[in-house]
Amino acid sequence: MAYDFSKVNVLIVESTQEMYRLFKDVLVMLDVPERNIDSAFSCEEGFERFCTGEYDLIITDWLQSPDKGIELIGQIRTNPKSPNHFAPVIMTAGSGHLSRVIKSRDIGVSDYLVKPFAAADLAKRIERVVEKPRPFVVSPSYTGPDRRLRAKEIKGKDRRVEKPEVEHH
Amino acid sequence: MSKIVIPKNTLKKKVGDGGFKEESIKKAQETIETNEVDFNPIAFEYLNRIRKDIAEYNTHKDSVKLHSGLLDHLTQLRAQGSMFHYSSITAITDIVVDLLDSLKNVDEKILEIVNAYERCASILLKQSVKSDSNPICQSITTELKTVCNKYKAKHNA
Repeated sequence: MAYDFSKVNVLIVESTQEMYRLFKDVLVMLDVPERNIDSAFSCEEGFERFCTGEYDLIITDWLQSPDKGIELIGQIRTNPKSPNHFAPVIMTAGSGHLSRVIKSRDIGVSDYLVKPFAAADLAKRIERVVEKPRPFVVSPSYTGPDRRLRAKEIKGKDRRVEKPEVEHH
Repeated sequence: MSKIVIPKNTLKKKVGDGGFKEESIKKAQETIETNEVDFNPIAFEYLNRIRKDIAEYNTHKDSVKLHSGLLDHLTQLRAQGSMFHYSSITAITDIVVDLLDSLKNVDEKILEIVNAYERCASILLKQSVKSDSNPICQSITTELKTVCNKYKAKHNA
């Protein structure tokens, strides 16, 4: 038995037609039906599509400056018009520089993929958002997956006065 | 007040269990390796944008804007080079992206480096030097690394 993508809708937001087509072809080989894959080529178009479709996974490029891919993730996470603040979003970028990874993490990305990439890398990112989704933190300054990847043991006394409220959606 | 939300995992519900088929990953990789996209027009478009941004900078002197514009074009070249069979372009662009990613703006020395990069990338494209193990590519890589490392050392970047 393997994953069944027949009911999964994917939105790819890319900078160029060529990269979009390559992503689409790779996803089709990974058994995502072609009819379930949509495209957008800017932050604005991407958010508009996201609001009008029912997407289960978004794969976005960093897009052009100033940080339009980051802006798109911010819109998905916090814009009141966003139909799903918790949708899994994979950022793909031409640089894995720490500053970019941190910027993506701090806006609420689910996972990060550096291009050029191998098919196995993309499959691994998708598998991670399927199998190991992180709980979301919703606060006035941040909405997105819990940025702590590991639970750290607290040395000494736990000084947090209130435990955060936990909500199941 | 912050709260923790555990969203419904609808994606998992839809895809079920079992992961990706090994065979599918193999086919997807073959798709990447055998795509027939002609990278030259894409790459020259980005190199043109780099030239235009530098020309605009020479008039307006907005070094922060130039930095961000250059990074846009260079990261696309880095990303798409190897995806479209030009690992040579990815290799040389990687060095310049790494340098620019560690800076907030550009100065005249950076412009010299970017101009040199642009000329080298054009040569690789015109001569169809695709592989990063090609001696021409390797010598450009070595030169660019030396210059960028010197810049980093001098400016603590």
